[in-house]
Amino acid sequence: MLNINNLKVSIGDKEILKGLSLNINKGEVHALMGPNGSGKSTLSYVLSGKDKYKVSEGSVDFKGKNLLDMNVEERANQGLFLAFQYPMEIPGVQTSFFLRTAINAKRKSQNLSELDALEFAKLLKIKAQELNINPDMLKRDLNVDYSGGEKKKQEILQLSMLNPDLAILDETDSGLDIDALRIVSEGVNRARNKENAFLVITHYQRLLNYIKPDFVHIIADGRIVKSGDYSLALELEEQGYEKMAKA
Amino acid sequence: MNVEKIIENIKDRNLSSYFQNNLLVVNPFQNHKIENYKYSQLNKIDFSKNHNCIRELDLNTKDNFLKMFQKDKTIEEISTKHINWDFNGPDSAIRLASLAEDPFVYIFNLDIIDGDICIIDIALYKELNFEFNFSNKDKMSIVIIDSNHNTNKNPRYFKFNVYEKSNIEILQMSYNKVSSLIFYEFNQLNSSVVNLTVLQANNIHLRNEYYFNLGSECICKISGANFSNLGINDNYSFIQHSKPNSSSREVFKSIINDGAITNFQGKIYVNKVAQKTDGYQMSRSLLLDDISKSNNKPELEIYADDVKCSHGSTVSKINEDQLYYFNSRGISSELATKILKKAFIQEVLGSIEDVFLKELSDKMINNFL
Repeated sequence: MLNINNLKVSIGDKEILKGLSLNINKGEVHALMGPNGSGKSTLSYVLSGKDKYKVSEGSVDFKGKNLLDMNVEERANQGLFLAFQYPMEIPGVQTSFFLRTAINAKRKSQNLSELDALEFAKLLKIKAQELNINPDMLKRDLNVDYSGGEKKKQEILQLSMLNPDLAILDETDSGLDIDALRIVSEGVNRARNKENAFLVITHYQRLLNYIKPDFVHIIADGRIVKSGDYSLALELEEQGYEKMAKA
Repeated sequence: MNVEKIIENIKDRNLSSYFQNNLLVVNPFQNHKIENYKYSQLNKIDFSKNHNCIRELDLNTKDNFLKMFQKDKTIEEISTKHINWDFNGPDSAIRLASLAEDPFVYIFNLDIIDGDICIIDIALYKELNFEFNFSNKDKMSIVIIDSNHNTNKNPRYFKFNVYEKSNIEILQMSYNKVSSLIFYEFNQLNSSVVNLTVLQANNIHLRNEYYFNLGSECICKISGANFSNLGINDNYSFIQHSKPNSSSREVFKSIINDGAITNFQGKIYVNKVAQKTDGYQMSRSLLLDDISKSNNKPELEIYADDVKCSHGSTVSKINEDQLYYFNSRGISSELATKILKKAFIQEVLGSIEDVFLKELSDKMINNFL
């Protein structure tokens, strides 16, 4: 589904990703772990298409198409979803309105008719309930005055509504208390199926107790330095990044 | 004759008599040395270029200068069924029409039933000046529509006397104006409440001036939004706290593009006796390109020593990170910008309480934004 080959990315003069390669097939969950400043978030932004990042070398292939040729909204409508580490606050835009606009944008790109208000409300009610989100929250402005945990739940709500082929979770566990971590993880596990894939970016092994990855990769200084299965995350927890990155 | 004298007169509460005598000869735009008109440079507008930019907006409220309706009726229902003509002074619309170009101020006493809605189409008799007296104890809603394709030859003047304990909500809409200067004066007697929402769109040149005089324990709330204008859009406000314990809240928001200019100048003036005044003024502009312009000039003039007054002003562009967030959810930049523009003026729309007024404002937003 996603094929990243020797990707080199810089901001200004500073090279951040220095030849990163990663292959994700459908049905798989990959965890990407690494210390601060290793390029985790840069990778997620580059894949989603944020500007300011310059790709100097390498290629990214998504469902057989060149991802780097598409703009941000095309990537989203092709089925790529990024759950942000710091979701934006949008004052003046109701959460449910935003969700409906996003769903209809995707449907439009697939030449489907817009979801009518009733169908949308039904779907939203079910999905919000699953994530233990109070319906009153959906009437409030998007992410405005939400707590850290509420914002992350909101991202997972968007994920479950939009049903992407590839979801990247950028440190979704940061800022979550234990209960919220469980609810968010359950939301992700519910969305998992044989046709989609996940790239879970995290600092901590704890999230992976809930979302069991098929593969674990360690990123350091802009490259993937080690790959393995879930046991690699446990090993990392014991030994720390410094030792593992060198090994 | 000059405009500084108008300002002097407003402090002495003689504005209406001043207008009766001098309205026809006021032309402030000819003198750019007048502080309150320094940004209103009419010579910068090419009127001929923009004449074909008129966009129709059918509110189904036209053809009568003054209409009164019962609440909880849809526009379709009320447009065919008006309930009550009740005013003193000129006794019919026909008579009013025949009196056009008369410089005097006509007085209406509106004794309004609870919850009625009054629609005033001020563009219909475009040379007349009016004074309205509101004495109802219950809350009422008023729509003032100002839209015509012609150039107004003269400034116009409207005065609203709001009696003790009255509570009125007003939606004032100006659109498709080619050139216009209008003075709105609100004289609020003790314990009265005025909630004024102003929407302006698709005007080539518009200058509205809002004068408020507040008695004790009054509440005055002004929320303004202007968008999709073509030339110069000017708003001037002068809020005078004359007696103690009154509060004023003023928010003006402008969305500016295609080389248009928006000016906002507002003053909160607190008399020496008006202790415990609570005044707030904010103007915010959203510039969509780098050829458009926004001039904001907030002013405070305070003579009492126990008051709370604040003001602020911001100019910004569309937030790139917010746009990226929309894009990352598959929403195009074009649609996202439209949503963000509406979000920007949402605070203004949120101040409208009446359902019918909300409906009209939505029509205007959807038509012009």
